[in-house]
Amino acid sequence: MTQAMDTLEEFAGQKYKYGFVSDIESEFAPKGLSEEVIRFISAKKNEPEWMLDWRLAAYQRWQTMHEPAWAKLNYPNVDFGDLYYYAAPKGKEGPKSLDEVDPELLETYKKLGIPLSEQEILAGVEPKNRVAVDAVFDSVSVVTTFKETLEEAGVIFCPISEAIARHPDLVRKYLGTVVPTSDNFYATLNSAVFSDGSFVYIPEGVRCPMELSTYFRINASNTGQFERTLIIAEKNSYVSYLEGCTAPQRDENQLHAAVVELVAMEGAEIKYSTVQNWYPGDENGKGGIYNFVTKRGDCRGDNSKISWTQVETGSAVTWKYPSCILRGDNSQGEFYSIAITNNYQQADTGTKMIHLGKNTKSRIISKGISAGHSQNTYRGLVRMHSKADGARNFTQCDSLLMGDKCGAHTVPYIESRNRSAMVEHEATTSKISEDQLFYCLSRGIDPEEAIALIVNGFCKDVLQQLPMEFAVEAQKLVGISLEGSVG
Amino acid sequence: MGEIISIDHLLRAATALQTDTAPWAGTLREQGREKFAALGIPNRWQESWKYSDLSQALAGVPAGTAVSRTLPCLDGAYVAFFENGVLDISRSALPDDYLVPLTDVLADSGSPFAGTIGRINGTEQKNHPILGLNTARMEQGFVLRVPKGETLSPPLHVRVNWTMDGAESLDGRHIRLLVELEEGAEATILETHGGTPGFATVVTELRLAQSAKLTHIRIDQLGGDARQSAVTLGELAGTAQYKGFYLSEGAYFCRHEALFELNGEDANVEIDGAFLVTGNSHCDNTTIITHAAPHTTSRQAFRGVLSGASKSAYQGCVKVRPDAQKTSAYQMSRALLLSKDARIATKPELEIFADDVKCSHGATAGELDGEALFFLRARGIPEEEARAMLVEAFLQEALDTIERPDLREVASGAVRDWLAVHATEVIHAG
Amino acid sequence: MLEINDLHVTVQDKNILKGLSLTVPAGEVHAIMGPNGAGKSTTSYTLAGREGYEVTSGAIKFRGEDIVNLPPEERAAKGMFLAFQSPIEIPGVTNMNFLKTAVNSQARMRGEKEPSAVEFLKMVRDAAKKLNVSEEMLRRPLNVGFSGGEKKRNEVLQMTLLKPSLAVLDETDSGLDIDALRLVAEGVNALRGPDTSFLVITHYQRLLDYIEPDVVHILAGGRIVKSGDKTLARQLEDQGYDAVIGKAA
Repeated sequence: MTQAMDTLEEFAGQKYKYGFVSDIESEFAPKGLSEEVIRFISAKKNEPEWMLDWRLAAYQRWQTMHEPAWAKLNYPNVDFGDLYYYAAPKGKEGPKSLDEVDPELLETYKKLGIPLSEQEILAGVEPKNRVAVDAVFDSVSVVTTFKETLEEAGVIFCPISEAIARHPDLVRKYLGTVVPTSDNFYATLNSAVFSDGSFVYIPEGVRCPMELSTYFRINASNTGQFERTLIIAEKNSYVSYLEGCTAPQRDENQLHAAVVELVAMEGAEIKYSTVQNWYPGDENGKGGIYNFVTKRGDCRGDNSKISWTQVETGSAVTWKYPSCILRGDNSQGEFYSIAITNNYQQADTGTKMIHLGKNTKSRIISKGISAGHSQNTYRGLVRMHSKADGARNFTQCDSLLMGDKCGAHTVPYIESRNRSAMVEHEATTSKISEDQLFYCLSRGIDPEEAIALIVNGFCKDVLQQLPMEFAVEAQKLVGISLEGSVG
Repeated sequence: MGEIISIDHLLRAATALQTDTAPWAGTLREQGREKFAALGIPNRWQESWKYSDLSQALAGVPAGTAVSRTLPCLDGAYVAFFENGVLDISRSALPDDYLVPLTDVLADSGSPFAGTIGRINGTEQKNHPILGLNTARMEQGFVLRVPKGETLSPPLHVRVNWTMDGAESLDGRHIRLLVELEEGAEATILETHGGTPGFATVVTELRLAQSAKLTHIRIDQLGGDARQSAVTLGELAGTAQYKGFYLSEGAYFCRHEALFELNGEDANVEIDGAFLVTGNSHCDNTTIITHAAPHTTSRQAFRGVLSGASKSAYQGCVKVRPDAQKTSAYQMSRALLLSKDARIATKPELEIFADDVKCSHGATAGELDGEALFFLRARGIPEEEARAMLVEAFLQEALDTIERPDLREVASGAVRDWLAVHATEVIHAG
Repeated sequence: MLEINDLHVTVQDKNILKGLSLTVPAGEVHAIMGPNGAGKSTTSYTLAGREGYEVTSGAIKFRGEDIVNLPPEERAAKGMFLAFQSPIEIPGVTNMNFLKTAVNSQARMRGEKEPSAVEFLKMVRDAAKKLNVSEEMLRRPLNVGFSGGEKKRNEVLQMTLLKPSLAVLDETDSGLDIDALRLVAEGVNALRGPDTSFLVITHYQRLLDYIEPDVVHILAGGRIVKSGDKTLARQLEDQGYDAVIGKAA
C-alpha cells in the first residue's frame, strides 16, 4: 500500500508527446491588436465588407471590456498587445488540394497521429470508421479531407474563411446568433480577430455519412489562436463532430480563445466531442496554453438535441463552459466532461443548461481529477425558466484528489422558477480509494496501471459517450496525464 | 418609508451611541466604520450577495402583510429580552453569573473580551460589509461566558422583538452578541426574532473552547415588511460541538449567514434548517464551514417550503484547508415549490485543498412527489389532506434532528403555526 | 362487484388497453396473467385512478357505480384497494400515522365513526402480529428502509386494516422469497369471504398455488384473450404464453 502511494507521488512525469516544433516558414500580421491588424486579417481572407464591419464593431466593444476575474484561476495578466493575432504557413492562399500542401505540414499531422492523405485513410480504415478532417495550423485551415464525399450527401464541411466566401448567406444568417459579439471578453476578442475554424452545414433530413473532425495545432510562438466554429444542423439531421488540439512545448504561455456555435433545428442532433490536449506547461508550471473558450449550443427547434463531451487534459489554464440553450420544447442538452489537471495546471470548467422550453431535459456528468499542485474547478449553472414546464435536470459532479498539494472545487448554481421542473444535483469529492487500489495490487496489477484502471473506471460514464476510436485514445490520455503525480 | 437608505445614513447614528466607551471599543467601532464605508451596502454584483441584493431591498418600499403570530416561548428558561434593539433588563431574567450587557463591556477598558469581540472567525469577517456596519454601530447586546466545565442551566432564550413602525427604525438597529464557552462548558441558546424592524443587523459571535458544546436554535418569524441581515460566526477548538437548527419564514429581506471555522481535531458542526416562505418574502440562508484542522466533521441540511411569489436562496460552502486531512463534510438542500411563482436558487459549493477527505453535497428542487400523493390518495386520504401530510412529513425530517424535546416542541410549534396560517397556500397548488 | 366493459386507456398518448372487458362477481378471486407489456400495471393503475391513465372509452363499474371520473381517494373509500407492485417510500410519515390517517379518512368519507385510539391500536397490533410486522416497522417512516418482503407485508397489513371489498394485487409476488410469499398469501386468504373479491395480477403461476383463483384471464395486447379455470394458469406455466395465446387466437 505505502509502496503504491510512494509510486503515486514519486513517479516522474512522462513528457508531453506533442511538444515538438515544426519548421514551417510563416507569415505574420504585425504584432499587437489594432484596427489595422483586423483590416489585415480581413484582407488576407478577401472578406466581404459586412464581415469586416462585424469584426470592427466587435473590436470597439472589446476595448470597453475587462478580463473576467470571477473564475478560480490565478495567472499573470495577458499582454494582449504583445501577441501575433495572425500566423499562417507561407504559400498559396486559400483551400488547397493535398498535393499542394507543404510536406512538412503533412509530416506534422502524421506525427500527431492524424493522417490527412485520403488514400492512406481509405487503405487503413473501415468505411464506417472514416473521419473527415479539417486541419487548422496556427491561424489557417491547411486542408479539409473527404470534401467531395460529403458534398454528395449535401453536407458542407470547410474552413470558415471559405464558407464566408462561398456561402455568405448561411454564415451571415447564423454567425453570432448563439454567441453574440458582445457575449464576453474572450468571445468578443475572437469576433474581432478570428482567423479560421470549421463550418459545417447539414441539410434537412441528412444524417452526416461520417464523423467530422477538426484538428487544431498551434505552432508559431507568441501567437494567439482564435478559431471560430459554426455548425448548423437543419431539421431532422444528425452530425457527430470531433475536435482535437495540441501545441508545441514552449516556455512562454500562449493564448487560445475560440468560439464554437451550434444550432440544432427541429428534431436535429449534434454531438460535439473534444479531446483537448494543448501543451499544459512543464512540471514547474512554466509555459503552456491559456485556453479561454466560449462554446454554446442552441436547441432552437422542438425535439432537438445537443450533446457536449469533453476530455480536458491539456492547457496551463482552462476557462471553458460548453452550454446548451434549450429553447425548443422537448429539447435535450447533455454535458459529459472529464477534466484532469496535474503539475501547476488550472482548470475552471463546466456548463450552463438554460431551460426555456417545455419538457426540456438536461444531464450533466462531470468528473474532475486533480493531481500535483493543480487546481480543478467545476462551475455550472442550471436554470429553469418559468415557462419550462416539466423540465428535468440531473447533475452528477465527482472530484478525485491525488496528492495533498492540489485543489478540487465545485461551484454549481441551481435556479428554479418553475415548480413542475425537477432539479437534482449530486456531488462528491474524495481521494482515490485505498481499498480499490489494494484490491488491484493484491491481484498483481502494478500501481500505475491500477491507478489508470481506477481513474478510467471513475470516468467511465463520460468515456463511453465518446466515439469508439476517440474513446481508446482518451483512455490512454487519462493514464498519461496522471503519470508523474500519482501514476 | 421609501426613503433610500444610504451608507451615510446607516453610519450616522440616529440615536447617539454610548460615549463612555473604552479606547479599545472606540478603535473597534472606527475600524468597522472604515470597513463598511469602503465595502458599502452589498448588492447582487458581489458574488456572495448574488441572490440577495440588500442595496435593492433598502431602496424598495416593503408592502408585506403582517400576520399576527404567537411567538415561541421556552418555559423556565433564562430570558434576554430585546425590545426594538435595546436590551430590556426589566423584562429579562438574565443568568447574572454568566452574562454582562454589552454597554458594560464596552465601557470597561480592561475587559477580558476586548481581544475577542470582532475577531471570531476573522477570515470571514475581513471583507464582510455587515460585520463592518454592525461593529461601527455596536452598543446593544451582551457577552455570555460559561466557565470551564460548567453548564448553563436552564437554557437562555434571546427574545428579539420589534414593535416600532418601519420609519422609526430606518436608520438601522444593530445587536451584537458574544458567547464564549470555556473548556468543557455547555449551553443551550434559543434565539427568536419577531416583529418588523425597518432594517436591523444581528451579529452573534461564538467561541467554543476544547470539548465545549453548544446547542443553538434560531427562529426568524419577522413581519412581511422587515429587513434583516444576520450573521452568526463561530470558532471551534478540538472536540467542540455546535449543533444548530435554523427556522426562517423570510421577510421583505431576511438573510442569515452561519460562518464557522473548525480549528481543532474532532470538532463538529451540524446545522439543520427549514425555511417556510410565502407572499413576496425573500429568505436567504448562507453557510460557510471552514475545516481548518484534521478529523473535523460537518453537516448542513436545509429544507425549504416555498409558495406565493417568494424568492429563496440557499448558499452553502464547505472549505477544506490543506492540512485538514480526514475531513468529512455533508451538505443537502431540498426545496419544495408549491406555487407557480415561487423561486429558489441554490449554490452548494465545495472548495477543497486536502486530498484525504469525504465531501458530498446534494440539492433538489421540485414540486410534491406525484407518486407519494397518489399512494396516499389510493389509501383513501383526500388530496388536500395528503398534500398537507407530505409537506409536514418533508419538514418533520428536519425537526427530528433537534434532540431536546422542549426545543423540538418550540420549533415544531412554530412550523405547525405557519402551516395553519398558510394552509390554503400549502394545500392548493396555486 | 367489478364490471369492466370495453375499456380503452391511453398513457402518454399510447393506447395500452384496447377493449378490456372483465367481470369479477362478489366473493370471487380472479387472476390476470400476461406477458410483459400486456397492460397489467395499466389495468391496476386505471382501476385505482392514477393521473395520466386516460380512459378514452368504455366503463368501469364498481359495486354498480361508474367510477371512471372518481378521484383515487373516493374509490378507496368505496372499498377499492390497490396493493402496489413497488410501494412508495415516504420519509417523515411514520407507518402508524399513515395507517391511522387512512383508516380515519375512509371512515369519515363513508360517514362512519372513526375508531378510538385504543380500538385502532388493537386493530393494528392484531393484524401486525399475524403478518409478522414488528412494532419497530410500525414506528419507522412509511416503507423507508424496508426490504422488498417487508414492503409487501406492509401492503397486506394496510389491506387488512382497510377491509376493502375489492383488492387488486399488482405483482405482489415479485421479489418475495417462499416464506414471505406464504405469509402474504395467508393474509390475503384470511380476507376472503362472500363480500370480498380479489383481482390478482401476476406474471407467474407461483402465487396462484397459494391464492387459489376461481377464474384465470390472460391479458395480451391490452385485451383479455382467453379465460378459464385455474388449470389455465398451470397450462401457461407448462407451455408458455405463445403456445396458449396462439391457440386462443
